[in-house]
Amino acid sequence: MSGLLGLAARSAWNRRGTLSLTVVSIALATLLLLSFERMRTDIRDSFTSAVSGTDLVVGARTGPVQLMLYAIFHLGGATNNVRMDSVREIARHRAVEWVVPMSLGDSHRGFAVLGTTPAYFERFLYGDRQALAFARGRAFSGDLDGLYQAVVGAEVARRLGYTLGRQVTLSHGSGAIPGAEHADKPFTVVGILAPTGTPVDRTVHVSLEAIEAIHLDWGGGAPMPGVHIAPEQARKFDLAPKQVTAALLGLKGRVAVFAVQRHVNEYAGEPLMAVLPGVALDELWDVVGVGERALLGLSAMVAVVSLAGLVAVVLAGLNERRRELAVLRAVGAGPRHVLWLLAAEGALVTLLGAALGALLSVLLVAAAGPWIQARFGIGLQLSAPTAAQWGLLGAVLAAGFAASLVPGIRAYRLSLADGLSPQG
Amino acid sequence: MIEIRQLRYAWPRAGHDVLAIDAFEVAAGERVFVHGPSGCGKSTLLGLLAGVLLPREGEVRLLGRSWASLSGARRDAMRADHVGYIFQQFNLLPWLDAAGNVTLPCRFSPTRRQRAGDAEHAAASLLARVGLAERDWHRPAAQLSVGQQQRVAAARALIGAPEVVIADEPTSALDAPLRDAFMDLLLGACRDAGSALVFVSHDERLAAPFDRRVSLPALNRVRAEVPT
Repeated sequence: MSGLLGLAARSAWNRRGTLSLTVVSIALATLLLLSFERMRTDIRDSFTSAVSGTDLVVGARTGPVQLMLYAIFHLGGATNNVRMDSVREIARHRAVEWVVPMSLGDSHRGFAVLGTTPAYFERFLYGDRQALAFARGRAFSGDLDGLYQAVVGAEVARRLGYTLGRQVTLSHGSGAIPGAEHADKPFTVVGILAPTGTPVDRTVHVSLEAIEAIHLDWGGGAPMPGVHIAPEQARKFDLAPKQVTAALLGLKGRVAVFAVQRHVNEYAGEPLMAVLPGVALDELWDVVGVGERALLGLSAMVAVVSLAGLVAVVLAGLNERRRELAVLRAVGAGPRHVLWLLAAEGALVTLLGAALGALLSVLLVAAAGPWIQARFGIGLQLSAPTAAQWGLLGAVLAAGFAASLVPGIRAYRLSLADGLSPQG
Repeated sequence: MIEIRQLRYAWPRAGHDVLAIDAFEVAAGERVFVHGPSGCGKSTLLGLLAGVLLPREGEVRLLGRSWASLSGARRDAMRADHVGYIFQQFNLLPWLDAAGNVTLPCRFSPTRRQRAGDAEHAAASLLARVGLAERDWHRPAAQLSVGQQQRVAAARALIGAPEVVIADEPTSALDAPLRDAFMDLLLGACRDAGSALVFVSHDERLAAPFDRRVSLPALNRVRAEVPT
């Protein structure tokens, strides 16, 4: 067989044009499959990495999914608020290290407005315990000087073209009602956050006191008639928040998490609830998982189409070789020689293509990852292939190899007749 | 060397025989010219002689062994060991040089490798014998003229001195002067190697130098009204 190897190599070199096309097509199929799979898993990861480093999310008693939806994803609204006293009370539990209260409900041109404390920018972690970073500027100061300061997420800044120093006004509620604007108290953008791929990108952050200030002259969801408190006057009022929407809790040790959860759930002052973000996110993912199943279906279709293309390319390449195989058969090559030639080449070409495709997908993630993260908020990870990706690689290899064997069997039947008949 | 007894052959899906030959022999070293018009079953006959096709009835023997008694793999090995084959055209691997093409049978048949001795050396002397200039020995076959290619094919059919050389209209792509030169070379080389030659052609002008000429339509007891 070693004599054949030389022949195989020279034959392949002679057809290097067609073969490189085959390799490229296999590489593209592999790239498509791997990237798609990577995207699918990373979208899930992006989703479940919306919050980390927070041990418990506390809110008024409702379902865990609802609590996560409004507290972390800023979607929908809370049915009830949490008294600030209760938050302070819970913060006194000996296992609690920090509490970040959050006040939601207003919006800015479709983006959620989050009232919180400056500690939020240190305590809130996402992804693999990554901290928020400022692309420009800094956090709002949290004192009266910084009352009308705002920090915007990366997507807010990009979509609305905001830069530092920009004056913005907030809308009451989701912004759906015209005229419900806090136009009298404009804010100044003092910080723009770096992209995170989480809902933080789509959020405008202000202080809790600011939320109080803009609602001083409001009642029942509308400006109170005849009452107008100027921005400067507002500083003279007691702006300490009475109520918040939810709070993030960090513990001194993970062991206490169930004890603190029970403590919150059994809190006597008002009906409260604490959820473990990881558990709740998984639950939430199950709700929105329909999208993932659609992606999975799409992934399967991409796989079938690209593998079919791969088989077609290999089969088309065989026509070019019919005469060559006929000559080999005529000079004494047996069927096993012909099969070996085709199989060896098929295996090599498929392997080369799959390796190239895998390399391309790594390069793609490395090159386009940051851009995709910034643009679409999907954090593509440069990590070892997942089990599913190995499976896909295996499928590409098996399909390519099988595709090169099928014509081998056909070639065996045809080649002698081709060679020994004059119409050759 | 080659014996045909009571042969009947029909194409797999045809309802009638195309070849019916009661007896036909080729002796060792004999050079036989088989002629007949196009479509009279010449290629079918060669397929039967080389064991590519098996008769419906009767038998075809090579060196005393019936092709039908051998397995597919044994037929392949038998053919590689004892039969050299020349087609009308496209005999060579275009990307392989002339010498490489000539030594191809030695890669697949230990018998012929053994008989050829040093394959490179045997190829060189055969290429010289068929009159290919030495500067062309290491050029890829695709760069050779059709006449040169057919001479390389003849050299290849003869390497390792197979008992039988089967030539299927090998001169059909050559013009008259080339054709005559090729015939001389082929017949001479076969005589040197001691190989029997079965040469089929529709062109009876080529028959003169052969030991024997056979008309396939006369030999075949099926009247050729159906093209093969």
